[in-house]
Amino acid sequence: ACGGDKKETTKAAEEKTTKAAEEKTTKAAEEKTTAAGDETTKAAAGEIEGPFDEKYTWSLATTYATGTPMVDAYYKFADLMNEYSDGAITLNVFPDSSLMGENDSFLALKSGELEFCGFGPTPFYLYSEDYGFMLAPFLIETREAYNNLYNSDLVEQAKELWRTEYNTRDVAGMAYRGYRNMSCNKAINSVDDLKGVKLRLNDNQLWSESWSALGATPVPIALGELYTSIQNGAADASEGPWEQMKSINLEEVQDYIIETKHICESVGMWMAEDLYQSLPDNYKAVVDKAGQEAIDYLEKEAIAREDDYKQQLIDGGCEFIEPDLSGFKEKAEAIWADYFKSTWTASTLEEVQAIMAGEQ
Amino acid sequence: MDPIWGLLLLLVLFLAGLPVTYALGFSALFIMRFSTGMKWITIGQQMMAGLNSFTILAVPLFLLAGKLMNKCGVTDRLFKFARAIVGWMPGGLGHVNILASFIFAGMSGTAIADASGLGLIEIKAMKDAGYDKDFSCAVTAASSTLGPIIPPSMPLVVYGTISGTSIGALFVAGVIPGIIMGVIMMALVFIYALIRKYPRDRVGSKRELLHACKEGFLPCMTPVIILLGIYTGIFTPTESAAIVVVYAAILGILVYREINFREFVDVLKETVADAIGICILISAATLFGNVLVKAMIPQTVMEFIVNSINNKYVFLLILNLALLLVGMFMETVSAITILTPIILPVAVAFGINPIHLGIIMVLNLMIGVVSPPFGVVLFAINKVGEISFGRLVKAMVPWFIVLLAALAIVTMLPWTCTWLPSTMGLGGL
Amino acid sequence: MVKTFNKILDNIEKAVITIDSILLVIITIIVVFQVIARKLNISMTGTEELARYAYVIFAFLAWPIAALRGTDVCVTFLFDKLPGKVRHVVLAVFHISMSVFAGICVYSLIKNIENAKGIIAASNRWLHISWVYIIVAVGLVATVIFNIIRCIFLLTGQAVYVSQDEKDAMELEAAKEAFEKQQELEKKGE
Ligand code: NA
Ligand code: NA
Repeated sequence: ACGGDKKETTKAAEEKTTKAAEEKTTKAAEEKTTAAGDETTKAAAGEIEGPFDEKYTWSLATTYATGTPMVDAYYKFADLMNEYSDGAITLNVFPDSSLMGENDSFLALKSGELEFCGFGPTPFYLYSEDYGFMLAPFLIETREAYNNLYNSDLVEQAKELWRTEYNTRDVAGMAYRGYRNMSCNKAINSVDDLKGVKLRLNDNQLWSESWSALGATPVPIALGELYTSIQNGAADASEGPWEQMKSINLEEVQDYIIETKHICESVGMWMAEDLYQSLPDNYKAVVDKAGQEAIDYLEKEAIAREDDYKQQLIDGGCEFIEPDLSGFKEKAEAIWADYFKSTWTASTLEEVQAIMAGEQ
Repeated sequence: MDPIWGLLLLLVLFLAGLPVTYALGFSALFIMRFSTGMKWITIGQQMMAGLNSFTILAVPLFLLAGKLMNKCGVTDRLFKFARAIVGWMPGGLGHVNILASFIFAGMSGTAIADASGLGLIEIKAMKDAGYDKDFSCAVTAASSTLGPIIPPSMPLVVYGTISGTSIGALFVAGVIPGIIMGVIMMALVFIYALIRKYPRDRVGSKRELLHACKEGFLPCMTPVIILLGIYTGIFTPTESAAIVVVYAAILGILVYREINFREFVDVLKETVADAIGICILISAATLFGNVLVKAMIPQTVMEFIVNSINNKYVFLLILNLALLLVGMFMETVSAITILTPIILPVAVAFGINPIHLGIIMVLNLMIGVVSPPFGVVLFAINKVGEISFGRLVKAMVPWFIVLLAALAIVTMLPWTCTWLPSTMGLGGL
Repeated sequence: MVKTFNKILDNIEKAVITIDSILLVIITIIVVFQVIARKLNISMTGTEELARYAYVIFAFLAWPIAALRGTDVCVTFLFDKLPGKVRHVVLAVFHISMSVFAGICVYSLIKNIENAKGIIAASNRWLHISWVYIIVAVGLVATVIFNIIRCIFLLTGQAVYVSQDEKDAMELEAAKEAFEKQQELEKKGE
């Protein structure tokens, strides 16, 4: 069965490649002019020309689990780079935290000891606290708004800083991974229902403070212990993408799933900047092209599977609630002002909102 | 040179007697040199990452709890308690011996400490009651394998951390295999008792039973507290280690009033001294494991083994034999840190649950520890029981059969390890 | 001269063990506090992280003590078969190589300290990761030195190697003593 699956995916990959290549020509040309030199632009447009004499073996570390759209896309990235470089580039993918954890991966990228890692926009958290609004619950409401922000000149300044100061390069932009939503043992129809609900969170300080402001009681619990904690009442609720809830079978112990869409989650690939800059132009083009196609594939897969995961949770016995989000937003907004003053100093709420709306 | 030679280098260094921490370190450097190139930053980063893990915190905490309990005479109380409960059965003290190990062993970290602590009391009591020396010594040695299967267990904490398996699931997973082993061993005691007409205690009066319970009941609660905490979700296995420390401190200082502040400080210092070795070992093992993964060595080993053995049961048989052999020569925690990153991918490729593998590994290594010619527990019992080595080995033969039978059952029936954790939602996979 | 030197070493060892004992108590308290806070619905972040870093410091501070006293975990059943004098020479070589390894670690840690500059812990936003690396590096610098000292001590006969058998015998003796004491106490009690 395993062999058959592989053939299918490569076939699909081939089909996609040709299609994507056509679409990419214009898009890539527009984007690349700002980021890299003109040389790459030409190469990315068509077949990438050799020679591919220099051989490279690189590693990509991620904590995402085998079988998720993310890890599938990373393997695809590896295959495509190998294919486009006529076998000159080998990328070994290490999923499931098998090589290193999240922070360690970025530290290793920074020092140049690791070539690639696969994560969401962690650098906002690690290096650019002043851009913390990128991670704030209820602030960014749609995928479009997220893209507007992430691809804006404002965020480009942060990306520039990551490249120059932290040797961390965004390979091909962020793919949509799905909204973060809630699961709970109590029906949450409005923000008032959140009062006193013990909500499991990871140890992100901003999230903890935000949910406290909304009335919930955050309890830090490791993901691996979430199921039992809900089962025995140490926590009443959780938040995350549907995919995460399904992967740990939360529907068996939770009564409701609530579509709060509080964070538009994104994910991508990161590369050591000095490595990228040291590459010959045709190799750079390979990385760019394979990266873009892997990201497109990831986004398509994540979107395709998002509803599927939701349906599986509903079929598993969870009641689906679409709550009134206005109260959530109002309460969340109340703490933004302070944050923009003290921590998110890169911008103002007005500017961020304007960019999200596509006005800048 | 092929980086896989790093494994041979490790073996050579470590058989030569270089501390395991450094043997692991040098092999890691060797493998880096011949596969990825020297990644200087990785060395410090991974050594810190190995200890920057919440689960591994349990190691010094369980050590501390074990020492506190020893200090307040728990071994003695426990023995009396077990005696009050099962002493009246045919071969009474044999059963007591098994029960005592079941409840308490595995916190002290070294087999010799368990054997000399509990072993002294057990062998003396059995001698006074007229049991054969060879029987008393053999049952003491054999029952010592039980400790690390039942929580708390240092080897399981280390395995869980290195393999990324839930420690809670591993703790729960050990319960059924532990009971299987206990029951089979008690059956053997029963047979011995009938053949050799061993004495039994008279059934105690209610007052005596109550007194023994009062004295010995509380320390027996340690594994129960840990399992209950995990089951109810009130605390995780790592947190349970801290809870058990507080529990032991309360027992020693307030309930039994056998530890004063001065002694408490001494126990702390002893714990630090004992914990150092294991801590730095895990640190170097993490570096070694990381380098192995990056050099794709586990994959190479896996492909080789999967291609040459294509049957899961043949693999399990060979795995068991190899682990038994390793257990005879190698200290348990070192063995786990070195072998887990290599064996785990192979086992997973054969469809073996990591939780199941953990119990199999620990069980094998524990049997290795009581096996001649190098099993450390045998040496300990040989001195504690003042029995000749040859006589002890001969007396152990029926016990080996029993232990291997239990091992075979646990190996062949994975559900003995996975059913309970998955029922409790602890990721039985 | 040698006496004062030994005294300094003893004092360093005592100081480290004291600091580590305190860290162990702190770790216990943090973890227990975390359990209680969760039970009482008090929202908490960063306790787990704090305990982890305390533990990292705990382990790396203690590392040089193992080198100084020769208490690293090792497998000695072959080594113990060697004649006494040869053992000391081999051990001296071991300690030199251990010192080299610790030196390599220090080099790596200095790179890590630079690399982690400006990076703060995920939930304790006051804690700089580079501080932790600095403490770890200090522990390993001491390991470099203490391995050399132990090597010199072994060659000059100021330190002796204790074989596993002898260690076991000592542990056994201690256990027996404790056991007999307990027995006597009980006899008196009856
Ligand atoms: Na026993
Ligand atoms: Na135990």
